Amino acid sequence: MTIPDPLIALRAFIAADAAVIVLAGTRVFAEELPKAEADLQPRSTVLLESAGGPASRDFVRLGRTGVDVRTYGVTPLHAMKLHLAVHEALKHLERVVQTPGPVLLHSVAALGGPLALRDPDASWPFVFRSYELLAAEAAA
Amino acid sequence: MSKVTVAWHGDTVKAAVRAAEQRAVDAASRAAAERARSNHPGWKDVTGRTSASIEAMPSERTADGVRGLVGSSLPHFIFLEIGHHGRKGDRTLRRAATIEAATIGARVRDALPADYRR
Repeated sequence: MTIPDPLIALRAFIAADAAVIVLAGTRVFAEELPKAEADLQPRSTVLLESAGGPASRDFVRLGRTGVDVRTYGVTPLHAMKLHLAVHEALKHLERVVQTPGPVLLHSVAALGGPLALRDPDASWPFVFRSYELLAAEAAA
Repeated sequence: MSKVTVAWHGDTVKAAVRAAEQRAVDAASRAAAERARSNHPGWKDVTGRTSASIEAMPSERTADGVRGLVGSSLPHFIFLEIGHHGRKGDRTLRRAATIEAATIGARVRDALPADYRR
C-alpha cells in the first residue's frame, strides 16, 4: 500500500492554480529549492515545507499537517503578490481529490498572517505564512 | 401546580472556568518556553543569550477563549525558527508549543476548584 504524501499533493494543487501559473510558472516546490532553482533566485517561486502538526490520538485516517509557505519574488511586492495568489487558492481548497496519491485534501486553514521578510544570507525577498492542512492519510 | 425555585450559578461557574483557562494557558506557555529553551537540535547557543531570549508572555483573553504567547525577543530568532537559504528551520517554538498545547485540557481541569472537578 502506498501512503500518499499530502505535501506533494498540495504542491500539485497550488501548481495547477491559474493565478499562480501566471506569476510563477511551474516553480512550485516542496521541502526545499533545487540547487538549479536556488542559483536563479530571486524570482517568483513558491516553496512549501512540512512544519509539524498537532498530536493525534485516534485511529481516524485523517491528519492535520503544518505547512509553511514561502513565496519569493524579485521585489517584496512581487513576493506579496504571489503570496496573495497562493493564499487565495488555498482558501478555496475544499474536499479535492488530488494527484499524486490520489489523496483527499479536505481544507487548509491559515494559522496567522503573512510576514514579509528578507533572507538574512541571500537577501532574497520572501513572504512567509503558516497553514494547517487537513488531509486523508490513505489514498482516495 | 407546584413551583420550583432554581438558584442560577451559571455566571459563577463561567467565571471560574475562564480563570482556570487563563491559568492553564499561562502554565502551558511557561512550560513551552522552558521546553524550547532546552530543546533546539537545529541550532547551538554558545553564549546562552539566544535560549535566554525565549519567554512566555502573559496570556490574553480573546472573543472565543485565551491566547498564550511564547516567543523570542531577538530579531534574528525567526530565521532559527523558519530557516533561511541553505539552512532548515528548527521550528523550536512551534514544536514546544504543539507539545504543551496538548496538555491544556488537563491543566484546565487541574486549575478548577476541587468541587468543580467531580
